[in-house]
Amino acid sequence: MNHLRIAVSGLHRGENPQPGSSIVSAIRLAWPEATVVGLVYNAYESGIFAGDGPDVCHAMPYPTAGLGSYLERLAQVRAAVEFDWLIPTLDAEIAVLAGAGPQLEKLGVRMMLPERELLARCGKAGLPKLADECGVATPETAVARDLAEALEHAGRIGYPVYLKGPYYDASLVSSPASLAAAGGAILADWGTPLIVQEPVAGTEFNVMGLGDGRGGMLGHCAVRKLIISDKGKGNGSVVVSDRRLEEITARVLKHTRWTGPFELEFVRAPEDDRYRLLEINPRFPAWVGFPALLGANYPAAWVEWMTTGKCRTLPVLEPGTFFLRHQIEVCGRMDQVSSLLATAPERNPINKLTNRTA
Amino acid sequence: MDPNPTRLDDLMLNDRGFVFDPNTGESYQLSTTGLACLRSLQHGTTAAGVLAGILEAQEVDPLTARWDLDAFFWEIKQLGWL
Repeated sequence: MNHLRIAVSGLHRGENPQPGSSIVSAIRLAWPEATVVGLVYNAYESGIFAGDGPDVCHAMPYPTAGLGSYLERLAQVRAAVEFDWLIPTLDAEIAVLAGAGPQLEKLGVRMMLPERELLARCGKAGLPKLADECGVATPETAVARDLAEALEHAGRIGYPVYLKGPYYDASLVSSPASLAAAGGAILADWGTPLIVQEPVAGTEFNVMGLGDGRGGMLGHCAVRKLIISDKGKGNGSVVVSDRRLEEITARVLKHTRWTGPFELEFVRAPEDDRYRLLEINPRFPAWVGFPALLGANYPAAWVEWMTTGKCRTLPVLEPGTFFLRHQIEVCGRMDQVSSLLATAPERNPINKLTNRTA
Repeated sequence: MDPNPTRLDDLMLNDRGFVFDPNTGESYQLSTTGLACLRSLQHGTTAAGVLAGILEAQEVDPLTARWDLDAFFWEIKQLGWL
């Protein structure tokens, strides 16, 4: 492979960690000399300052500003530092960028994302129908265009319910008043629709992997959450091997003919021992660095596939191996932050403490 | 009672009685006797055979052993191992 030059977003690893930093680390494991450009939305995204983080970072407009603004800024970044590939890692970015491959290619940047139509089918709003088509159970879910509809759905499903935004945020609400408050906040941040979902108590499982676009997989890794944060994030998970979970995952992948990274989120209720599909994420999860450390480097396989067309299957992790999320401090300097806050491309990009430049 | 070879075979045990169920991600700590029983079942021993093994290895009243073994079987059945 020629010298890899790649841009990655989603570098923050706080309470709600994003996948980008793990992807950058995994790329560095495979190609230590790769040029990695970080695309960030906040000067304090912790991955900017990680030891194996990007060589250079640039600030981007929020995806909610629209595709035009995003592409305009990307062109400026591309003029400042050359890169050939883009891995968007955040749901809101993916929603904006899906279908924008031709526009990106005009900028000299390539990426691989599922088709817009498939994303819509797999999104939170489309999930019940897709799950039904795949013969997979899912919690009772209703899509609301506004607060009034959300209140109606919640009344029918029965409180408490989860109220979710189109991309992020989920609040467990137990009354119409709390639904109205949480719904207002979600609408202000992320817009419509609001998703009202029956809460299902049980054990949470996640399956991540790479779809081969023909209905199969290059590999997958299934884990059970061991430690769950206040925000519902798996701060520790153990690899499991359950044929039922594998079979459900294979069924979803086959039905969607999924291409590229995915994460399926499940809950298994003790009452009936059934897996219910909660979400399909069209990207690697934040824990993708875990299998990479054990020799199943999904981001590297994905990059290799994108850049060379070569598909290779990934090793299966031994059940019983686990990860724990371990918070550490990273160091920065205010001049790095001030550089990032400057949005014009002619101004300085921020360089790492090592002063490596792209 | 016939053991369920699939689920039992999947269980990962060590000599200290630690059990990891790869199907569920749950882990358990067994007593020495529980470990011996589970290993017997993994080797295809029937319930009567497991009881006979306990009576042979330990000085225990047969009724008490039977009672405890039934309770053990009930528990592992709840876990889907039998």
